[in-house]
Amino acid sequence: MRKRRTFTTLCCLVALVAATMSPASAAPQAVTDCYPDVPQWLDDNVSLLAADVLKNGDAERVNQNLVDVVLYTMADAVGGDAAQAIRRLTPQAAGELLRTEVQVGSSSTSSSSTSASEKPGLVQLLGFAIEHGAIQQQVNNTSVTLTTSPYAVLAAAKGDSPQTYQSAGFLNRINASATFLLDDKENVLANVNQKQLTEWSIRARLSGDRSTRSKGFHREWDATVRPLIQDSLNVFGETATKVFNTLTDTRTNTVLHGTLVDDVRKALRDELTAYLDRHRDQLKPELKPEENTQLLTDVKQIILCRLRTLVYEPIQAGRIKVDAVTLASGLSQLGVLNQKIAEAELAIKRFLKHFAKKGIVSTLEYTNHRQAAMSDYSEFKFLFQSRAQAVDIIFNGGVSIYNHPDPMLNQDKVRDFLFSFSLEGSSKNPLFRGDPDLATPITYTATGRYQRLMENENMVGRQPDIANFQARIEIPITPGLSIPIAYTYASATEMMAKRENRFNVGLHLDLNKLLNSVRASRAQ
Amino acid sequence: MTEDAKYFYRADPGETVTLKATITGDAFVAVGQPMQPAQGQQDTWTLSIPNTGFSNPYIFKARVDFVQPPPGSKVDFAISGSKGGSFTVFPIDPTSFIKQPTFTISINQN
Repeated sequence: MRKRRTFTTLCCLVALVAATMSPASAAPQAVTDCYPDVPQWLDDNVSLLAADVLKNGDAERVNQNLVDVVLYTMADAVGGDAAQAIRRLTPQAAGELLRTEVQVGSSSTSSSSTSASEKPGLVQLLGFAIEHGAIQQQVNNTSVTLTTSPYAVLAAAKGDSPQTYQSAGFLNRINASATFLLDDKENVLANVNQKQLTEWSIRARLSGDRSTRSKGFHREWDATVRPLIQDSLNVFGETATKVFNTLTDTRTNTVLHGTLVDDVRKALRDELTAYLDRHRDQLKPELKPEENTQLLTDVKQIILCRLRTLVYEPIQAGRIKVDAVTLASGLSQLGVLNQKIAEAELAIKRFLKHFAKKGIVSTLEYTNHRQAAMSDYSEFKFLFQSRAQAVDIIFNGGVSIYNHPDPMLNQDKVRDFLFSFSLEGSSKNPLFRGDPDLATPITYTATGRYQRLMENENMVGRQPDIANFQARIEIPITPGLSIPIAYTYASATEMMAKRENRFNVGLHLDLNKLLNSVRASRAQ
Repeated sequence: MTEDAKYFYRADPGETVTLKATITGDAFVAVGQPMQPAQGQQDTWTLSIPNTGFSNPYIFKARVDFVQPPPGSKVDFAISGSKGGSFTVFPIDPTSFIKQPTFTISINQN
């Protein structure tokens, strides 16, 4: 098969769907008339609640952190140290809270399709395995790839949990995949048959687990991040429990316990339900109501106004007495802990970057290539990766053999053997224009490859020894825009004994990143 | 449990409330005081409410972190008590929250 090594001189990665900015990440605004000079931290939390109410079209979503916003309003109302503490809490000190990756209460969905086909037995079995996680399906324009592993089968039977994973031993070191030509795009699994099979492979990881599911990463998390999170949760629980259990109605001299939160909850439920009912036509998921500025402002206003009238004003007027000392102490501790958690999260991200490449990562791979009108062959490959200083060292070595060599094509049992060696690294980028925090490093790679193709021996116009070299550097200029420069040398190709020298300069545009960067700048 | 009671639970004096987190895939879960880790059970927390002299309400927070979660990851929280319930945290939406739900347990005093 003729192989040509090409490098695209102009790479344009244009994303048609622009990613949306989180409302929470936009600069908070004191939008309400009835709660002037609202503390930033309270404003941020109410913004998040409002966005979640709108996203789900459900007034009850406000219950998720209602206790939190009531507590923060109390702190603002009592003044003194507590008010100072709540005003010291900043989004930067708890970046993860504002840019989290989770959602509560949504139903799970399955993206896989299992419609019937002409081979219902196999297709139904595959569909069942895919929906239960034993097989992963990946579809692109021309092929469908199914991947599985002994662990995936075990997890489908026992449940995929951290305990199952960490006790699976070698079962999570092996995986297998098969790729099929995609003719019927409507019924993807109908393509899964021997005729459409283009290759299948088995991979075995020889080195230890470097994933975030590994014992090593869990140990690091438990040592660095978990204790701070635990302290923070403990401080919140102790503070909130104590404050609500001493909350006193000064007119009747009775302890209010949870009735204050209940009053706010009921008032908000009624008011928000009525508002959502009036705007039901604008709450369709495809309209992204949580990004609708007017809806967001209105819902935020409703929440802040209720907090003001039911919590802030009675406390300011002295009708409700709050344990201000406990509140101030708890919020001060939370401020310090939030900062430490943010730092620990950055540290664990750095740890993960190095942990993933720590030591030697090695994999053994077997691939069976099936080619229409050509000889099928099997390939055994050893993949090795290590890191020295700031440079990744990658080595591949392999041999391939024909399953049924064709003497008419000068084929012998051994098809070829090859070695490749690659160095990859990155460095600081002084050429980057824009926010230095968004600067991406300059990346560089140098790759050498040698292949001995046996069937080219003694053939006119062909060369059995094929050597390649490529050096490539990519320089990011702004977010989403970079310049790749590459030099390629080839002593020959599989089909021709002809040398090749190429030098390419290109422009790499990622419109998605570019738009996000512009939006972020505007939001600031 | 009615929907509006989600995150607001009830228990009786002398009762032990249990919170169990079942992790599918991978996640890091922590639960704050006054809940206490159940002995020998990594993902279970309990709160023993005395017959007299109890606080009312008890308030605590949980936190779920997903770090490069495998497909299908989620955490199911089930809470026991006279009026218990459950809910699920998914890592499905980068623009949404909340990974630190706050629970309130009110004690029945009738």
